[in-house]
Amino acid sequence: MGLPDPGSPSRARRALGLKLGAAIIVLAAIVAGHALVLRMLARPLVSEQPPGAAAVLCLQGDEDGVEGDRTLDEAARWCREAPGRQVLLLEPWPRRVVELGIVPSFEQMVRRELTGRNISNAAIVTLRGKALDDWERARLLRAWLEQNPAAEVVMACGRFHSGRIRYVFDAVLGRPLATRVRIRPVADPDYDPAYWWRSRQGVKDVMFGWLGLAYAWGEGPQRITPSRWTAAEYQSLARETFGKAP
Amino acid sequence: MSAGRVGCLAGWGLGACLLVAVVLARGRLLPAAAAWLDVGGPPERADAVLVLLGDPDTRAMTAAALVRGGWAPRVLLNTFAPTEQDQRGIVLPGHEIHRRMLLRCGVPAADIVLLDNRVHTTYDEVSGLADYLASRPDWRVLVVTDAPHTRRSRWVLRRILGDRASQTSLVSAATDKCRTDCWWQSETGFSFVLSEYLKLGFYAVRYGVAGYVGAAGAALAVAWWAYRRRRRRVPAPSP
Repeated sequence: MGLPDPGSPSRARRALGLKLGAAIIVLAAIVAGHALVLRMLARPLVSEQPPGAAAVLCLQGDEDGVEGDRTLDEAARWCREAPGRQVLLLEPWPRRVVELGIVPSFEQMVRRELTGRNISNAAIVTLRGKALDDWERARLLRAWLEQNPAAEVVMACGRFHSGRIRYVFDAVLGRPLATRVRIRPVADPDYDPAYWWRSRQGVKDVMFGWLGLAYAWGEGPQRITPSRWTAAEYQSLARETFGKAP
Repeated sequence: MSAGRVGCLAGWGLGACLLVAVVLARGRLLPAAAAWLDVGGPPERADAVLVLLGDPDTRAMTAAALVRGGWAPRVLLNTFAPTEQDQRGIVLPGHEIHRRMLLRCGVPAADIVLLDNRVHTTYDEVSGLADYLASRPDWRVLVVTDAPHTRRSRWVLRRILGDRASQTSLVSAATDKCRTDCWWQSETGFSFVLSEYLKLGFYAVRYGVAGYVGAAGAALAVAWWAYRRRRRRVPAPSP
């Protein structure tokens, strides 16, 4: 009685069984370890450094207010923790709803909220520059850091935006200045960042986080600055486009 | 060389040629990719304008221009589910910003209808519209949203309203975030267009049949692979 022929049906069945078994084990490992894989997927989007001796907390606005719902509480706590601490605001490009006075500007909103939390108006400094994106915010901050050579800054931002901020600020500020900026990610209270895929907002944050980071890695600063219409220009454009109904 | 190997090489060669063609034609393909997302058309007379909630800087202003131009007498607005920031009074709810923008652009308060629902997604918004139209079978509605968002919106309208989707027309709001001819050269354009493609894929799986089609395709591929292997192993009959 010899060994079975390599091409025999029994050997082929055994090989198929082994492959199926391996596939089931791999599938089970993916199902059991999906949390680990998904957390690893979001890891490059997050950057965090200890605040060190920084006495300035920097805030930036996004379209819906301040990035990270708890950022204002963090900023108020920051100011109360030690005397002489400051909050630095990077002025964003004013949206048309701001231009028309429908919502307060980023600066007005932050001042209102922080003074409401017993922070003095004098502790809030605004860097004007109508920044359109992270690259322009980084340039604004660079000018301020050059004027304040002893200052160290903590940058508060959304958790899955922090990796991109670190990348852009390193690129714009260069080595000596970049070490004076620390990133402090602020989590969204609507979902647990360790299980971001269980929440719609978490999935959106990770998706936009990756798109932004991929763009920064691949392109650097945007090649064109999209035109921004004023409210009057937009109204006139819409009127011309649609005209009057017949 | 075996026939299988020749086929494999031909497949790789074809793939490489396709890739080169795509790279060479990117100047035409990329604008076409953004243009494909925009299915908005010219407005028609309607009974209402539905503003899909999102950017009030574009959508609410466009809806106001349509009402003021006499295309429809009223605006329908869904209401967002409350967020932490608006519950704490830090910012206004998104639908309230839209409402104020409409007022600011000259739409009378009496012509703005707030639908009392708590929406999160475009799918929820169109479901809200379907509920509202249930008692208004003859109404025609203009649906306003940003240009790259119109294709997904049309897909959802057809999915939820069925035949009644023909009583809606999509109108694109011009957006300064994304220019069709060079969207990949600005970060907002890049994010807007790619995220729309990702969301379209998600919607097709989550709300459509793409998930079932994908699973059936995978099962067919496995069956085909097993069949090929089996055939290869059966010895050819001797002459």
